[in-house]
Amino acid sequence: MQVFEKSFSLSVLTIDKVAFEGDVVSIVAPGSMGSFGILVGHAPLVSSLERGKLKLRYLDNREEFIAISGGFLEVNEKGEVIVLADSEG
Amino acid sequence: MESVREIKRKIRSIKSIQQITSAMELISVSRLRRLASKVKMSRSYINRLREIIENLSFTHEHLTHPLMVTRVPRAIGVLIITSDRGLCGAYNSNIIRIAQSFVEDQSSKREVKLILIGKKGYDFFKKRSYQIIKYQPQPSKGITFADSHNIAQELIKGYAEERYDEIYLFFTKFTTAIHIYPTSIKLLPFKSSEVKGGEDGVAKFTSEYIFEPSREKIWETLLPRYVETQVYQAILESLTSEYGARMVSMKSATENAKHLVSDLTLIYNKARQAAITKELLEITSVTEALRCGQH
Repeated sequence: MQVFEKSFSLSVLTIDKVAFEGDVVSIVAPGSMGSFGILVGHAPLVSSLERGKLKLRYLDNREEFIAISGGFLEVNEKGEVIVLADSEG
Repeated sequence: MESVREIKRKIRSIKSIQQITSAMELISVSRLRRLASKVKMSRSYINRLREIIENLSFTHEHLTHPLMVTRVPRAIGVLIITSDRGLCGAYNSNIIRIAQSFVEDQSSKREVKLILIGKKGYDFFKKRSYQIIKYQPQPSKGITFADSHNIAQELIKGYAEERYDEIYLFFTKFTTAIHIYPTSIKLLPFKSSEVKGGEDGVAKFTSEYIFEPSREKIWETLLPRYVETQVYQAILESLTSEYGARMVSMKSATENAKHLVSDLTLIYNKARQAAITKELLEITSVTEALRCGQH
């Protein structure tokens, strides 16, 4: 059960595809006011993103990077995180 | 009755037309499938954007932006999306019809500037001496965001520089291959109230959001982004609708050809039989006559 409490759902969308969809433990995003991290239970937030790397950490501690060239990040009331990336590559 | 050889020639030519139409149908089906999934993707993207915009304007009604300024319309821009190629049923004539009646109506009141995507629309409006600001062929292989980005940027710039006081968008909305609708929307000036209640029934927000860097900054980048996405979506849906229309019309063309071939085959067989009967009749009557002569 503890596993579920630690993770939250993340989807990274670009205009023509879903770049990522799944559960992660934490993400670090290149915000326009500097990098910031998000853990489970973050308050609702909308932030613009700069060109940079999105760092994801999975339940098994694996890390992955997704390069984005800007966009927006939203944490909604349910604690789901949605990244609208300008382009992913 | 036509000669047997002529009917045969007709059947052959219809069969070769049938081959072409059925090949075009298959191509349209495969393109359509790919594009339809893209439409779905960009729809979920645009819905998310809409949610954020809705949420932003929910508590801050006073947010402003150069793209929200309304002016007395003296010159309007009209973006019309058609296809480059034909053989897609009434797809082009439908969108051109509603666009033309709008342009005709507006021309009497104010200056109308046309921005055209697609050769069919260009050919139509060029002949009728409307003011065409920009024309570009439709990206038939598949549209990228960069393509629409350029067009959208130009529209946004034109609006900010007051070359257009209002911008309208005419495109064909795609739902399924047989359900496509010529549609028009007012692209600019932007009204946040028009965003509310998106097509998929967007949920309303109640909680307070944190904004980084600030509500205003996000608003500033979000709005042009939304306009660009709308233009992209419109081009993409039009392209998808085009393949849908082509698939349907090619399917019916193939079926018509099939009916024609079967009708003609019947006539051909009848004609052939009639010829054989006639020949037999001739032979028998000749032999009969010869036998009579011998006795």
